[in-house]
Amino acid sequence: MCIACKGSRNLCQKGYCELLGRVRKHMSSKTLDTKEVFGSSPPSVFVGRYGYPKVSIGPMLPPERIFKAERLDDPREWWGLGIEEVVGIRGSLLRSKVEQKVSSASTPDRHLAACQELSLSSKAVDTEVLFQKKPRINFLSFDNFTAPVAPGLDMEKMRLTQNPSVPRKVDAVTSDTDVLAADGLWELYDGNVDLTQMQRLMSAGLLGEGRKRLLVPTRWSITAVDDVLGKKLMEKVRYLPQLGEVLLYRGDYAGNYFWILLVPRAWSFGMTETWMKGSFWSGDASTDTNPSRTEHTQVGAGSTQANRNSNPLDNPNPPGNSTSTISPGNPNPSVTSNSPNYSNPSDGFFTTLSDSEGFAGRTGYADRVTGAYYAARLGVLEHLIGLKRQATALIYREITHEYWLPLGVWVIRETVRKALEGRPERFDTLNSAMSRVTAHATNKKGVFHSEFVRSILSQRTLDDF
Amino acid sequence: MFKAKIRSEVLKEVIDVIATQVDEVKFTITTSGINAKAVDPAHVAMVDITLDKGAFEEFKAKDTEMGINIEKLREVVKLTKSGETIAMELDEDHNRLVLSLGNITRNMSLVDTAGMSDPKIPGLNLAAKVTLELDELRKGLRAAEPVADHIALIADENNFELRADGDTDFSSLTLVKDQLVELSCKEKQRSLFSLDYFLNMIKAVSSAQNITLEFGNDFPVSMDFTFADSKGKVSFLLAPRIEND
Repeated sequence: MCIACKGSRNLCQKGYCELLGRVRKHMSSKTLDTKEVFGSSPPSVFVGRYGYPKVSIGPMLPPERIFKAERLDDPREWWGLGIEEVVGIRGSLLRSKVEQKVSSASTPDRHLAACQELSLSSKAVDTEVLFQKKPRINFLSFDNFTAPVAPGLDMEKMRLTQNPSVPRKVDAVTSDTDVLAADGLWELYDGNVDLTQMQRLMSAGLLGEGRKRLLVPTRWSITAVDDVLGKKLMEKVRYLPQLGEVLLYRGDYAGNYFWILLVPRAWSFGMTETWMKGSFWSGDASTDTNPSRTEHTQVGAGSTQANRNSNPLDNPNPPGNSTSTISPGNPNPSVTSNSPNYSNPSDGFFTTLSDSEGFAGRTGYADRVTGAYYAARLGVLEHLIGLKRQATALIYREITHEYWLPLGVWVIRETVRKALEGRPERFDTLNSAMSRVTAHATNKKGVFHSEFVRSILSQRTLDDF
Repeated sequence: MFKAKIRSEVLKEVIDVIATQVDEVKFTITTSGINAKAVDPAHVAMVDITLDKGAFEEFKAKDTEMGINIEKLREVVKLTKSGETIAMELDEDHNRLVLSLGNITRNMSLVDTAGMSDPKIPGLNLAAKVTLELDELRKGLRAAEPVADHIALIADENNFELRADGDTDFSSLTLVKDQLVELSCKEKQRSLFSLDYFLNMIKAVSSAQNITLEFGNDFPVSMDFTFADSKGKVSFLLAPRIEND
């Protein structure tokens, strides 16, 4: 309903739009009185996915020069902030767009060339955009992959008024037209280039073999980068000695509660998520039956201080996400296959989903947990490399009503990274570690939802005999 | 020193069997034949394969080792048809295996065996021993596949059963003593196994007619068979699953 209305038709008959009211508090909602905008792009370039292979691309920038604009497009800076604050930060960015064929990446016109030049920069760049109409911000779109973005506004032209600051590594990899995109990403990762910048370079069609370069919608490039880097790290992890004990890490942020178990076995990875009623995707926000979560300590600043009794979005499909079958946690249970825990209205859980892979890795897409799977896997692999150990990693995530707006897949990646920075609890057996998880988790059955977890619990090794 | 000729279908079966566990393997070569032991990365299954010198068309060797990348060797075997002969010679000076097949010569660099330790084979005393036709076993596994992700092997004095219990469905292969090649079991034995692992190993067997299973209550199962006119011996070992309450 909300997507049909966008706050303008009063379809909910409340006479006002709860969501916009909430969001507007944190962002400038006025129409600007000029078509020409000058501001510091963090830098940020957004590529939409609608109309593929013809997509919209354009820089995002605040309508003014600001200090430390980089943080407007850097998820690591947002972790720990309340949901409203993240929305506020993202709401300060205007999004401009022009239509481009994805195949034009290697033969850019001047608009695209300017976008690409902007993407190369690791620091904010003063940018001038002339819009076709006076820009007005009135809504953000949200999904589980990308950070919140404003709707695209057609631009007439753009110009960088400052030289982009291009790290040498970025320059080398993007100007090499013989290296495959995956190898290029790995080189950038090795050179300590930021994940967000890698996603930006991939999106803007600056990676890969010369003529094969394509523009990649931001949403896809995020998971592509997580996946490619994860695969590379796996190649290393497989040769590391095994961990000696069971480790349990915990962390939470913005209504996302994580339990991460590292088990002394060969590398493999499984992730299970329980979406509670009242969480954004449950589509059942009006009956908030969530149990209290007092047993959790708040690691992050979270948004729990705002005690929400209802989800402002009656329609769980956020704008910009319609009913695509790959949308994560789609509230239609026929799409979220393998969800036996589906919605017993009184128990407070909406659905539980799992994906996993063995030592050799996976070939197909993790289509139940989707982007979160790859983001979490990357976080775990980085940690294993740091420990110089291999292990089987089991992640269990509960999403509560506190996560009332999906902020993007960075929430998962950064929360997993932060949790793994913490001090783990140590156990001699997997069973004792699992009982610790079930003692804290709200959906105790969900912990054992996946066949992967059940088989790890029951499968003996030859070393046991 | 190692110099031998082998029929391509025999080498292919060796490769298929080892590939169920590892990508790289160390062959231990003696004057009487070759042997390899490999355990899968999760330490859930292992294989012990021996090829007597009689399985080769020609065989000359002194005690040595060679580390082989199994997929590389598979590529070479793919170039041949069943019945053709492949000649192998270990070139220790250059650390490579020289393969000749028809008019093709292929030099294959060896894998360093320094880091490849021999897997420890658990000493087991398994109470049930069942020999049956491989085709019967295959059929039982095929019936179980859509039903569950694990199977139970059950034997008593007179029967052998392979059953799969799913959430709603069930399948069973039941053979009485007369239908089996051999059954020796005094008390009822039952053990549970991952169907994935089981199938993965059985799929690698191509020429054997009978297979011998030995298992005991919540103990591993060993699966033994011979190939290449009984000159080749394979023993798979698979750890059980144990249900938690």
